[in-house]
Amino acid sequence: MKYFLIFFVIFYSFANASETETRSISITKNLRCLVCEGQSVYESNSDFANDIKNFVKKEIKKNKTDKEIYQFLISKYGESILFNPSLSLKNIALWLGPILFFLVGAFIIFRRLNVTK
Amino acid sequence: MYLKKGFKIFSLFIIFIFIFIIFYLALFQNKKDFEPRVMIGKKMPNLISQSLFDNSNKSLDQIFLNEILVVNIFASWCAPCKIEHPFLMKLKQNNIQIIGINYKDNNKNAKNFLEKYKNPYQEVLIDSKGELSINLGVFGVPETFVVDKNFKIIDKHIGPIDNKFVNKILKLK
Repeated sequence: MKYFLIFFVIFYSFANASETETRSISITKNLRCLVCEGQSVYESNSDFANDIKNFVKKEIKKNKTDKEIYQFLISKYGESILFNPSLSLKNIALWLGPILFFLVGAFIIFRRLNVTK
Repeated sequence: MYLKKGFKIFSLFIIFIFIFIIFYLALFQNKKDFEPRVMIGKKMPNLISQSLFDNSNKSLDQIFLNEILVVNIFASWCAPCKIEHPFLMKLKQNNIQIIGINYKDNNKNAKNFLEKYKNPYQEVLIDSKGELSINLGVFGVPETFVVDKNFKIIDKHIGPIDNKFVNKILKLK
């Protein structure tokens, strides 16, 4: 029984640590390193990125949800800290632009094909 | 036929102008894209940490004197902090309250830095893990925040402060 308990505690702590690590990686991969060129917080080793990595791990251990962590960071750094910003009036052109260009392109091709027929 | 050709040229011209404006704005206008300024207009977070001078725990609202406050993030290892130091001294000489946040530094080095270049800060809070800085939305040193009488952040400066910034603060007084 004693050995089972020891095994359980060790197994549980490893499983917990790996879950924290997995969540931390997934969050920091979606955070932009504001002092680097096009790198995510996860990829960077700058002071800023390391601070954010530690912060994210600490917040996960405090049982904060991903949404709460993102919201806190957005409240401090703005939407530009996200690689995948949410849809808003300010960035609607970014979200709709590619779809619009695709539709216009498809329309032109479709018309050309019809004309040549 | 001519009308159709004219329409095509006109459409191409409009598309060109549209793309030109987007590139122009992206390259020349939005220089501050990655300089987070979202903290401006918000209430200053009540930072609590150990004092560099007497090792006691202090909070920012305890130190705040209900007048214009300058919060400066610095470190002894940061070269631009040495450049801005005379301007902080100028603010101190004009009786502006300055609180320092000592970012990821060695306490002894920080004290030596203040002895060597003189101390412009009324109080220095230690931020050994960078947590206070995250709470302020800081991404590098030096950074400086201006807080008004209502404990609200009214301005932020990224990089070493200069004479222009000092004059701006003195006008607020």
